[in-house]
Amino acid sequence: MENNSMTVEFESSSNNESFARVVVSAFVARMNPTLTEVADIKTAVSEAVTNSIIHGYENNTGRIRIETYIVEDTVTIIVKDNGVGIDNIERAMEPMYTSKPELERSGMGFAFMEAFMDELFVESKVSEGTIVTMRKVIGKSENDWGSEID
Amino acid sequence: MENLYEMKDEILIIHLPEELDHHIAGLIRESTDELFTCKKIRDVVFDYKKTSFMDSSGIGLIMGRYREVRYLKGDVYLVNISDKMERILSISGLYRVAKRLDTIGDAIKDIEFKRTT
Ligand SMILES: Nc1ncnc2c1ncn2[C@@H]1O[C@H](COP(=O)(O)OP(=O)(O)O)[C@@H](O)[C@H]1O
Ligand SMILES: [Mg+2]
Repeated sequence: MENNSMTVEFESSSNNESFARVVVSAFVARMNPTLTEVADIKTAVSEAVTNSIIHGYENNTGRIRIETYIVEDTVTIIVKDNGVGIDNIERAMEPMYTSKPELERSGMGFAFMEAFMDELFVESKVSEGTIVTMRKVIGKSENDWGSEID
Repeated sequence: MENLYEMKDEILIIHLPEELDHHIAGLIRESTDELFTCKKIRDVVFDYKKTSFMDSSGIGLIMGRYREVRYLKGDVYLVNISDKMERILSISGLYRVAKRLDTIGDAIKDIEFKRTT
C-alpha cells in the first residue's frame, strides 16, 4: 500500500454526518478493507463527528476537520473541532457517561470508537477544542461476514 | 418519513431507515414524540430490516422509547437484526432492556401473549 493522505473540512451540520463517514470510507477503500472494517470505521467517524457537532459546537455553527493518513497497513483518522473542549477527559470516556442526557445521548460514543478502532487518543482544551485520533490496522481481522451484501 | 410508522393494537412499529445516525435519530424522535402524545402506545417494535448503519445515537433513541413505554409496563422489541447490527447492539448493552426477536410477527405474538397473561 502506497502511503497517502486526505483532509476534508465541513460545517458542523448534522446532515454532514453521513457525508463524513462516506468520504473517509471511500478514501480507505484503496486499502481493501473487509466489510467489517469499513463498518467499524464508519461508526467511529460518525461518533467523533457527531460529538463535535452536539458537544463541541453545541449545535451552533463551526468547522470540523478530518485528516486521514494511510501509512502501510494502518489508517489514522483525526477529527478536530474548535469547540468548547472537554474539562475531564477521563470521565467523558467512561462508557454511559454523557453531559447531555436530555438530548437522548447514550454515552456510548467513545466506547464505540474504542471498540471498533485499535487505538484512540483524545486531546482537548476547554474553550479551544478537541482532537480525536483513531488508528486501525487494516487486513488483520480473520473473520468477516463473508458474503453478506451491503 | 411518514411510512416509517405503523400502529396496531397500541403497538407502534417503526420501520427504521437504512442509516440511523444522530441526524436521523433526531427526526424519528420528533415524530414519535408526536405519536406518543396523540395515541396510546404500550409497546414499540423497531424493525431493522432495511438498516445497515447505526451508531450510538440509535442506541439513545431506543433507550428513550424504552423509558416512555415503561410507564405503561410496555416493552421494546428489536427485530430483523443482521449480523452487522448485532455487533453494535451486543456491545451497546441494549439487550438488557430491549427484546430481540426474529420477525415483526414474533414480536406481535409475544406482545399478545404477554397481554393475555
Ligand atoms: N468534541 C467534543 N467536544 C466537547 N465535549 C465532548 C466532545 N466529544 C465528547 N465530549 C464529551 O464527552 C461526553 C461523552 O461522549 P460520548 O461517549 O460520545 O457520549 P454522548 O455523545 O452520548 O454524550 C459527551 O457527553 C461530552 O460531554
Ligand atoms: Mg457521542
